[in-house]
Amino acid sequence: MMAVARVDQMRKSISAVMTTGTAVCTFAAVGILLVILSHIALKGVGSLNFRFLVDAPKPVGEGGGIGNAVLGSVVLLGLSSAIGLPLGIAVGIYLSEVGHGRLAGGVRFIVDTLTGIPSIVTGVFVYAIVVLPTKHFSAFAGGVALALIMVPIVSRTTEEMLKLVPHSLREGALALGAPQWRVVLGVVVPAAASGIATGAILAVARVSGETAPLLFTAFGSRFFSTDLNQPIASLTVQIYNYAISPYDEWHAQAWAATLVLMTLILGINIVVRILTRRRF
Amino acid sequence: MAQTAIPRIEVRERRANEGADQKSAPPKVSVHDLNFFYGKNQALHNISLNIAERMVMAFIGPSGCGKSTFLRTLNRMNDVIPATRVDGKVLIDNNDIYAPGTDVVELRRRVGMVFQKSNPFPKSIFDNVAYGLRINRITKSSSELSDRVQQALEDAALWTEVKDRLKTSALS
Repeated sequence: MMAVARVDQMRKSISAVMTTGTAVCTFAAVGILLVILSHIALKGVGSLNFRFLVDAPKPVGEGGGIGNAVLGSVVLLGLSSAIGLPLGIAVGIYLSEVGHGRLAGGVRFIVDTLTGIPSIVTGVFVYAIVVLPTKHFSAFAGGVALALIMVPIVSRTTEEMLKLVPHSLREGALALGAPQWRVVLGVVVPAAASGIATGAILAVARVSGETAPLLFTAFGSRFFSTDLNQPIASLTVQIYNYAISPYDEWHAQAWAATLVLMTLILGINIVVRILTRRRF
Repeated sequence: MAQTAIPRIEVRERRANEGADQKSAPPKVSVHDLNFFYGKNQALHNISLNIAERMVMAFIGPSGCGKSTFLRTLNRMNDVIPATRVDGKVLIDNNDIYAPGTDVVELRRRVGMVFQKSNPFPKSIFDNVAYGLRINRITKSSSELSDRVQQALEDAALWTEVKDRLKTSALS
């Protein structure tokens, strides 16, 4: 009797310690996130107004805004999505539906390795293959760099989503005499469409925070531009340039631009949540 | 370790109304010494049988004895399962369907299959019923297509239930 009671007490106190421990860790993790978010909001909100969002940068002391950077980021994200999403989805379809054996295994390994490549390496690589031959920085080079980062993310999520589609669905279509391309494009991909879209949007959110690969490619600009052949501004590079500048005014603008970027990424993530919820 | 009896298909023939003409007619489907393997597991052992045209044949047996595996060898649905192997011959209309160069899609078009579980595609009800007609380009006009779809749903006694929501998802 005594022994049992002691074991019980032991179990209860270990349980209490563990529960407290996990709760503390959770608060620590969430707390840091909240501190970061609130700090950015507090520092950024002061310089934030409508003119800041639409104006081009001006010399120190004259205000100015990040309108060109917002436009540039939209152009870069659009371009990289146009290149990276089809490529990534196609690779994912290959990995899940077409490729078997060693070639597919090799491709999968390469894709996994690509995911782990530091984004600055991607930037230097695109500098070598796009910027050097064309002899100038360009929005196109920036889009290519971001697209290269998107491809492995999109292809792996696409592959995972396609693998969740029940095998019976493929067999049902095959047994009706459908050729494989019709099975894949007409039945399997639509069945996984919302998951693939989620992966695509998450990839866009991921690259929208990238700075390093843009430094060597899109470079940045202080003017409004949509010319793919010219350097282009982006929120992240603008934040970087302002943050390392010696001017307090630019520091304040960097905080405000950070707030804008965070809101953008938060918005994209909310869209993802809504899309995933619709599945059930 | 106790040896568990692995259920196997064995062929027994018992025809209720065997006609003389049926016996003389060449078999529609003819299977010779068919063996089938899932990796190292042999699922079918030396199956040989003939199926005459317009003949109804049933396979019965305990779970896991290879009924479905055997049926799936007849339109090569097992091809899509990795690491499987087949040997022996399956002749349909005297053509070996496992001969190199066989058009598998064409084969499946002719050898239909109804699965144990229904599996609606992520399309509208109409598009689900029309799927087979569309991929095989059987109908010539969209009005013919909708007539065939209606006919199919009426034959399945589903028309009155679904006729007002043909364009909605078949999954909901």
